[in-house]
Amino acid sequence: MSDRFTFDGLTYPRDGSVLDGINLSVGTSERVVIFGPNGAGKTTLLRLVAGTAVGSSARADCAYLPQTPYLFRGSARKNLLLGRDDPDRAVAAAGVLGVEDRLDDSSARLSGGERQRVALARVLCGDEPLVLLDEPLGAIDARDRASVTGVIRELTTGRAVLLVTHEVDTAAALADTMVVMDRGRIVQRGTVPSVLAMPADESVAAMVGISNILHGRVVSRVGPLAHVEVGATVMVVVTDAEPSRPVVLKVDASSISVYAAPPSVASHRNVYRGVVSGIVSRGPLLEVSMVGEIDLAALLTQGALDALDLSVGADVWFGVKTAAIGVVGVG
Amino acid sequence: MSFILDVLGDGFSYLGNFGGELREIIVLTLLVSLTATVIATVLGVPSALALAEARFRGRGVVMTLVNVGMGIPPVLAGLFVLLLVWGSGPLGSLDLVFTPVAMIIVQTLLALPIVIGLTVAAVSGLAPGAREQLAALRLRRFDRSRLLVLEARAGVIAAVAAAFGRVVSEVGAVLIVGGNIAGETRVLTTAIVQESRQARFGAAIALGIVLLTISIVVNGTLTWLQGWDSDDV
Repeated sequence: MSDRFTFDGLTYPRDGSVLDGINLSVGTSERVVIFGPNGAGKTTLLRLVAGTAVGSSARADCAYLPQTPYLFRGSARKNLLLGRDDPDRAVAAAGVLGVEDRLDDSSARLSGGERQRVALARVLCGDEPLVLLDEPLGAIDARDRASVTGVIRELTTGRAVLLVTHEVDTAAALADTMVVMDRGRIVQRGTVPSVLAMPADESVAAMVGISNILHGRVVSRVGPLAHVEVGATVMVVVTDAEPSRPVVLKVDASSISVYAAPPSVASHRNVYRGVVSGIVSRGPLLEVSMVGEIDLAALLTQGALDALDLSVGADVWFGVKTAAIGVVGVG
Repeated sequence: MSFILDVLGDGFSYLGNFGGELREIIVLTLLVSLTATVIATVLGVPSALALAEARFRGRGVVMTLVNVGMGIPPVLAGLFVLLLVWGSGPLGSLDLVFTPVAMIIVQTLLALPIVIGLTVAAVSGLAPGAREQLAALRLRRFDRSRLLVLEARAGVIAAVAAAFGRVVSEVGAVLIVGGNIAGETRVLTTAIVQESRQARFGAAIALGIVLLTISIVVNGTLTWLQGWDSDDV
């Protein structure tokens, strides 16, 4: 067996007016997100891969969560077990997704979020080597998203995941590799942190914002404030994730303060020292990248840069307010 | 007005003296109409599922034929089947002229387009997500069809009810291929025609009451099935 799933020449419809000859490949334990605005062709792409689009052929080796999961009449349990031959595993998956106590209810009585969880449990509890997820957090409440991403990551470990979303946070939380689509074309591919830090052009930057994606691990927590180990340093973050849990953090580049000397008094709980590694124009702003205790990118105006008198190679301090750090996923 | 009341009274007293001939007519009516409906359902529902899912050149033509079939005049269908089974026709050797089998054949032909047409409509009318989800589940063909029929149950049962309604109340086709032979091919509708033509209105009304009762019982049962909850399935 090949070590990658490869999809070549994905075209829809026959004249290619929606998608024209897209090539895609996913490693057997890679998580790839197709990211883009509504109408970019993401769902069509996933349906072609799944084989549910007209003119495509069904694949036996994938589990597929459609954009709007549909529960058939009958109990949630009946829906959970459709086509599944290991009821214990399916019920366990429903358990970690928090819907075990709703399984004997009629599907018609479940809320949108509960339906999504039942559908997710059914998709994730199998052995298929390729998992296709269309907006997997679509109907999940904001406060539950981090925990649901944790379950999705855990239950897809070691499998290939191809997911579709228009939300940066979902993309960052669930994927390693990002494929940015716009109007039926792929406009950028790369690791999620690299795409979010270095959008290929202004249209991608407009879609993703410019953000730093950091992977860390909770080392301790007092109340809502946790110390998260990121690389060689520690960040103070608001999260309810327990110690030793891996977390995915997002820091908006426009919310980072930049100093040319160590700040004496600052409102930031997190100040990091490094060296300017690059200054790149981003439309009306400039993106300043720092390597050091931690690698971050910040957005500044030309005036601010002139006042700081920064150039590549100069010492620099980046300050990040705890409130500006988003926890987008718990591993 | 008193004339109609008299006829109704005659009808009920006729029913009171429920005899062997009436019983034969009822049994044959049920046998022919239910058999035709069952055959049309067994053939029609799977065909409808295939038609609803298939995308092939000529599908539009097939659907047009089905829709035309839903409205075909029964006497034409009767004439067509009579020509088929007539002594010198292609099925002449089977000796089916004026038999219940010929009546079942023609009623099946009348019921089939209704079952197919209305089932295709019922399945096509499911929520857009239902068929994508069904495709996503990768079930075996039989399991997928079962799930689809259960989901579109109300519409599929309406299709069966409409088909039964057409055949049980139909008179032209069974008259042509059955011949309305007393004790052999006489059913409620042809018997009503017979009694009316002989001005035996009491008997005709009695037969009409029975026909209406059968219709109520069968459709009532189907309506109950439409609402039946599949939570335990």
